[in-house]
Amino acid sequence: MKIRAVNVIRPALTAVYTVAAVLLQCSVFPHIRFLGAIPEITLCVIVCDSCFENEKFSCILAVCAGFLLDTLGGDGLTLSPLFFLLAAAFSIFLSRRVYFNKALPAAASGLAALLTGAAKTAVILSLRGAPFGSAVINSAMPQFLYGVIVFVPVFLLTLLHHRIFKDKEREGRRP
Amino acid sequence: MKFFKSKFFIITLIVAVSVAAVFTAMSLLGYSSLVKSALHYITLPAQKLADTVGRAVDGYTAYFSEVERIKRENEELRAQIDEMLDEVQSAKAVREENEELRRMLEVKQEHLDYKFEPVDVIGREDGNYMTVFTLGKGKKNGIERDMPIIASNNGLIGRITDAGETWAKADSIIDMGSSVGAFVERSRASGIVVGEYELGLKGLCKLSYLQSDADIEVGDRILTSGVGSVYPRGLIIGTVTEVKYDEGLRTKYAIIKPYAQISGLSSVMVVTSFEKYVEE
Repeated sequence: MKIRAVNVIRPALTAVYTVAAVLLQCSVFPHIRFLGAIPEITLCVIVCDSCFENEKFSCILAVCAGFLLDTLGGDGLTLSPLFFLLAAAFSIFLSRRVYFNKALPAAASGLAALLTGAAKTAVILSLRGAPFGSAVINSAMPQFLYGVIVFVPVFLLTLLHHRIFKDKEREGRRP
Repeated sequence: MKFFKSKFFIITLIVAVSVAAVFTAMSLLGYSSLVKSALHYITLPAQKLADTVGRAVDGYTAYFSEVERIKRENEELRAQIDEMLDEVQSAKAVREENEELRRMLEVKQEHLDYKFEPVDVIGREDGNYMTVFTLGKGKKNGIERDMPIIASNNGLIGRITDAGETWAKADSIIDMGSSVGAFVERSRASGIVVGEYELGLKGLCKLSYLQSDADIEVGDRILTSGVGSVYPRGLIIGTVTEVKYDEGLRTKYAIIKPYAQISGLSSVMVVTSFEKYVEE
């Protein structure tokens, strides 16, 4: 099997972006809070990549990113690998099976994942003793809103990244 | 749908569940994992870099979020400064008043036969020919027409020209028509201090009717003579700034600078009673 350079560079860059997103979420965004919330930028990157990247690679990246995120900035629970894998699988399912490689499923799955992520936060907080309503209003909703704000540029950058490398791959196939 | 039934996805899912379960359980039980330590170690430089960026961003955003607070604080500080300036101003006024009262006391001690009535100057009318002071006390306080008024430095200002129940009007020694019996403190040469229009504009007055051989020099102090019983003897009128000779009248005269600061007076003392001078 012949391995093209673009087939290595693109996933490698995707992995680098994902690690950068984890570091941003752990170290930079805590300083730029919106209504006290930190956006799930890693989740946004995972969902967007899953729409365009190889399925197997996306799943592995989702598990690794989730583990790295919980290790560097987690609160003791290591639920992100499973959560990110399910988000990536949902994104893959929407983009490849339902909407046939269109950009819309990325947005839809991204919003769904962010909403689920916010719900997860509310559930964890309420399990730890916070009133559920208060957890939704004060933590989950700001987190979701901030996630949506961050999702738009992440989606556009991912789209750009995959367009650039896709074009190069096509050029390589020309005789 | 094939992908979700594939071995790969199922294995990945099992791995994810296992990782989640194992590491969550370890964390809850208080065991720090080697893998987590290794990951921390590997990503430490990147984390440090990201943290530095974060702190820089924090400082930048803090600047904007602090603007409102700084603005409020600035307004509060401005209000405090205004308040303090008011206090300083009133303290200054109190100090000046205190100083004036102290000087008045000194004058009282100097002239034990005098009875004083300290009065505030509540108005000042600067006309073309004369300056009239309106004083805040009148007949109710024993102030009558022709009573002398002096400044807190014992300098003569003028006399009461009119008195109502609660007010009084006074003119000054530099006004036209004013005349005060005076003598030179050093040589005892006597004359009359009169107000003249042109000199009055400069805040000066004139010592006239001096003998042609009168001993008078620049810098001499001129005091009230007490002649005429309007003014008590010994009040300081002013100092000689110039000595001239009147060819027509064949007398000397001198230009006097009043000892009392006539412009900008805020309070004066009315001499309501004093021992009349009897010429021997």
